[in-house]
Amino acid sequence: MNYTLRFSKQWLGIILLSISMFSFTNADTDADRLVGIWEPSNGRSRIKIEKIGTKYYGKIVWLKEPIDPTTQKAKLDKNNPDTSMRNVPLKGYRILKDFTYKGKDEWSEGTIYDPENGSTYSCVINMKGDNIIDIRGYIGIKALGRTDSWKKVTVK
Amino acid sequence: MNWFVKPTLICVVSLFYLNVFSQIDSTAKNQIEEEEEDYSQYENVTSDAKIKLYCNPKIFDLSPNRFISVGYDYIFNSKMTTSPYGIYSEDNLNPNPQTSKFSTHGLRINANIPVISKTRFLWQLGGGYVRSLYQENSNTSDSFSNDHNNFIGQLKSYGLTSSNLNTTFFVPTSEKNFVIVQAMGELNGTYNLSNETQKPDFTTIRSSVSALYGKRPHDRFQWAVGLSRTYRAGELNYIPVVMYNYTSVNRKWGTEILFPARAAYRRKFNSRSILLAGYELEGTSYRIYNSKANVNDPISSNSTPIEKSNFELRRSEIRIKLDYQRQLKGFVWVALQGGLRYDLSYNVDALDNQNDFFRGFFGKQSYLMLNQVGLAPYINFSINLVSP
Repeated sequence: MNYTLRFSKQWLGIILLSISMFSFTNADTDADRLVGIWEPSNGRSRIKIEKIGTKYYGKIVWLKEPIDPTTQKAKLDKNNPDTSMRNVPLKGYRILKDFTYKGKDEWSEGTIYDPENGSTYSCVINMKGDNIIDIRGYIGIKALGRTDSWKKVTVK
Repeated sequence: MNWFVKPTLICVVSLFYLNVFSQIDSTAKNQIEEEEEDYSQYENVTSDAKIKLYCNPKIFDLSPNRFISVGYDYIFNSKMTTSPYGIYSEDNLNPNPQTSKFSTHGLRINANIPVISKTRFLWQLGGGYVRSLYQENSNTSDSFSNDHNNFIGQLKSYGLTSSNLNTTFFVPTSEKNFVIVQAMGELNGTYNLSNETQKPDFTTIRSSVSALYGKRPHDRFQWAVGLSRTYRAGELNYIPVVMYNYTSVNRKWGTEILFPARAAYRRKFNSRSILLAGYELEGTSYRIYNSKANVNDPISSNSTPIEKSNFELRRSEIRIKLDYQRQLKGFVWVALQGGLRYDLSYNVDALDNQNDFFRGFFGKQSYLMLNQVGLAPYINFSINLVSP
C-alpha cells in the first residue's frame, strides 16, 4: 500500500513535469513566431529578429540605400549619441533589443533604436496574423508613440 | 525505488544544464553568425503578407513634432498708437493718435497627444494656452482720452489670454497621397478666472478648420494644397493654403512651408540640432470684456452717438525669426527663437449683438479703433518633449 502510494506520487510528479515542459515548449513555439526577417512599411530596410537566450533581438540585414550619399561609403550609425559607436556600420546593427514574450501575441519590455535620429524608444510588438507585426515605439507611456506595420519576408 | 528516482533526477538536472548551455551556445553561435553573416542573401526576398502601404506623415529631417511644449515669450518695447472710438474705414487716418510704449511677455503651453497613431491613420488631440501680459513703459501723450484709457486699461490689467483645443487627422489614402484635416476651437480675450467681472464667455469661442490634400513623392518631399477658415490674420478669413516640405539630397538643408501661416529654411547641423530661418504669421481675434461705448462718427456729419458693444481686438503679426532647436537629453529638446515682430493688424471691431462677421480682403465694414503697433525685437525660449 505504502509502495503503491509512493509510486503514484512519483508518476504524478513525472506527469506534472511533462505537462510543464510541454507547456514551456508550446509557449516557446508561440513566442518564436517572431523569429525571421521583417520589412518595415517604408520598405527601406529589413530586420532579422532572432532569439538569444530567452529574449528577442533584431538587427538590420538589408538597406535599400546602403551607401551614405555624403561619404559614398557604407552607412554608419553616425547619429548615435555615444560617439564611440558612430563608426559602426548600420548593416548588422541591433536596433531591437530585449523583447520577451508576454503571451496573447505580444512581445514587450524591449527597445527600438532609430538610426535616423539616434534615439532609443520603449517598444512593444503585437502580431497581427502570421506574417504581420505592429511595432510601436513610445516615450514613457504607450500613448506617446507611433505604430508601424512590418511584414515577414522569406529569403528566395 | 532508487532505480527510478536517480535517473529521473539526472534527467531533469541534465535538461536544466542543457538548456543553459544551449542558451550560451545560441549566443555564441549568434556572435559567430554576426561576424560571418552574408548579408547579400537578404537582397532577394518574397512575402506572403498582404500589407497595404500608406505614406508617412513626415519626411526626413523635419523639425521634431512636439508632444508637450512649455515656453516663455518676450516682446521688447514697442510703440502702440491708438485712435479714439469711432466709425472708421481702413483707409481713414487716425484723427487723434495717442501713443504708449509697451513690452509684452507671457507663458506659452502646448500639448499634442496622439490618440491613434498607426500607419493607416493618425489622430491627435491638443490644447494650447498663450498669455500676453502688457507692461507700459512710457507714454508720449500728455493726456489720454477715456477711450484710450479704457482699451489700454483692459490690456494692462488683464492682458490677453488665448486657450484652445485642437484636433488633427492625417489620413493616407495610398502610398503617396494623403489628406490632413485640422480643427480648432479657441477662447480669446481679456478674461480672467480670478475676477468676477472678467469671467470667460464661452459664446465667444472662435473656430478654425483646414483641409489639405497632398502627395509625398519620396522620403524627402511632401506637398499639399487646401483651404482654411482661419483667424491668423486677426479676423475671420477663408484662404488657400500650400504645404511644401522638402529635404535636400545631402540632407543638410530643407524647407518647412505651410503658406501663408509659416515658411522656413531649415539647416541641419546634425540629428540633434537644427536652425530654422523664416517667418510665422500669428494672430487671432480677442474679446475685450465689459466693452461698451457711445460713439460719434468723426468722419461723417452725423453727430448722434451710437451705442457700440462687444469689442474685438483683431490682432495679427508676422514674426521674422531665427529658431535654433537642439536636443537637451533623450526626447527633451530646447528651442531658442529670436527675431522681429511686425504688426499687421491691431484694429478693434464692435460686434454689438453679432457673434462675428466676415470682412475678408474686400469687406467694407467699419472699424471701431484704428491702431498700430511698432516693429519690435522678440525672444522666445521653450522646452519640449518631442515625438518619435
